[in-house]
Amino acid sequence: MTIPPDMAAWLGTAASTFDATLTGLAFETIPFLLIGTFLSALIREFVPDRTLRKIFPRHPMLSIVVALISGTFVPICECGTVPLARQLRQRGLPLSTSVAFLLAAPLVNPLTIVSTWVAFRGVSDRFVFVRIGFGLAAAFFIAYLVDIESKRNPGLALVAAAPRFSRIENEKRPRILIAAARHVGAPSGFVERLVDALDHTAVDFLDTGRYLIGGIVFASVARAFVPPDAIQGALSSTVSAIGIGLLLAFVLSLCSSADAFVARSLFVPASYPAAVAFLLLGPMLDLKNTALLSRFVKPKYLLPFAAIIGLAAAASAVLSMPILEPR
Amino acid sequence: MKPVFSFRPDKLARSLLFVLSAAYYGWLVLSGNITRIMHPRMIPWIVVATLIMVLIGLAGVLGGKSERHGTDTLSHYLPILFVFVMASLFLASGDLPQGLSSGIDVAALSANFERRDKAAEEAATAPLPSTIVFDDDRYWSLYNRLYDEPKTAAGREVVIQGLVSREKGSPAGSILVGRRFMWCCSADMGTIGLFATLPSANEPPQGAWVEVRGTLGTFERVADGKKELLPMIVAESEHRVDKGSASEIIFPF
Repeated sequence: MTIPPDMAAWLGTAASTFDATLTGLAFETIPFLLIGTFLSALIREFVPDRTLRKIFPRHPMLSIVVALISGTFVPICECGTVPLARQLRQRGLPLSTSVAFLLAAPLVNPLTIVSTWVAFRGVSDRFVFVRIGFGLAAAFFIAYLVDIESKRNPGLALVAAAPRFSRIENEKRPRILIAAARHVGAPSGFVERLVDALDHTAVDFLDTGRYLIGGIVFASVARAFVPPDAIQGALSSTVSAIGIGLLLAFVLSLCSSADAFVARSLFVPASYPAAVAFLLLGPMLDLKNTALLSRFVKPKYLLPFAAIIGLAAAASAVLSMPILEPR
Repeated sequence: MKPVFSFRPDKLARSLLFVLSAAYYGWLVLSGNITRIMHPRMIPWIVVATLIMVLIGLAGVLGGKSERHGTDTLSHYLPILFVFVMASLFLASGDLPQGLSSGIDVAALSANFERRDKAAEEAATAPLPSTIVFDDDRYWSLYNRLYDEPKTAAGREVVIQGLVSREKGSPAGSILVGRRFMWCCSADMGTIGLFATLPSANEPPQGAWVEVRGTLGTFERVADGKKELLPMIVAESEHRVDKGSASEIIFPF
């Protein structure tokens, strides 16, 4: 049996796209995941609970606001924020606080802001403000929903228990127990703590890295068989354009530090709502970090969580139209 | 602090994985191959991550007090090893563009970016010269200007170097003289360039590095039912040249 030349050429292109996508996404995200995991381990070893309690107010809404702002100071993309958000949760901060950080940090970190400004320079500076403003609003709204749901359902336990504390459910563990657990046999010297932080980094990185790579493999397969330029015809209607923006952000799984350039090349000037949907959803949710999120959100809550994020991004795209559309 | 030197096979295997990963990333950066995979602006992050990998390798030998030593399984290691195998295949495939030549110096790279940003800014705003030369620094800005205002640029002389390719929907007998461009990593790489009709029927082969000189004109292309006006070179000369230090990949920002 011989393969027709056209099919052989198509398969060759798909295989080459798969490898290019997998290599690019993996080599770009692995360093950020490692850095995020290391920062998380440093917080675990070196930042006392009382410091975290000083930084994050007891009032849930104020704590959410601090989490939203703190993302500005963490210059890493979405892969690196997952371990940091897990660490905040494991240290006893409200679930809504860690969700706010998880969703907002990739949107408001300095790399994302600068790259969005550069990408849309000459089109409209308002894209930067729309991305930050609507992104923060969406993250606040979702965190607020999580806060309400946590109070209504104390056993929600969205965050999977960390391996170190796996015998105790996160939601049932009072802060004092976390503090006690951290100090039982905890190292005291700087070097010993650093060695322990590196050790935890290795364990957490290998654990979460396999999920990330699994997500990247799915994203690469999707990319190989769904060329982005095949969707240009669907951009004429606002609804389908927003749907395409969300779909491509999810499938392409680009790093939030550079996705603005791709948004501009794909959607501008054809559809600003599609660009906004793409810019907002990608940093919060995509194919590669859905697998990573399964280490943060329990599987049964993953779909509702993803649906709320998608709806918030779509609503933001619609609401931003009067701000962005040329008069 | 009393380091614990306990040579357990599982800890050593983990250390070895991180040291090998650091070595691979280090080789990518030092050989310049990293720019075939990702944007050079990412290199400082790669360096930081590589240092963390080395430290983890050392820490694995020193030993921490984590109770989780020895919990690794093949499912922890295989995905990382799979990625390195796929990257090696990607780099070994012959049709890939070359990035920055070799030996990346992070400080020198930053200086290059400053120079490039300045040139690109000027090329984006200054009046178009009578002879437009597409060099590495101005490539992206000039490309955008010519595609945004093809009529304005028509009639000017142009000099461009790049790889030869052929595109669907281009005029018969024309080639695309272009470079690959990368926003972020190899996952979003594409080709940008100018169409050129050649002075002779002797077309250069696909993938050849050529220099084309000629006069800018325009042509109308129909794509997805829409007509678009695109720039095109009516070439006066076309010949193969030594690529020299020119990059086959353009990094637009």
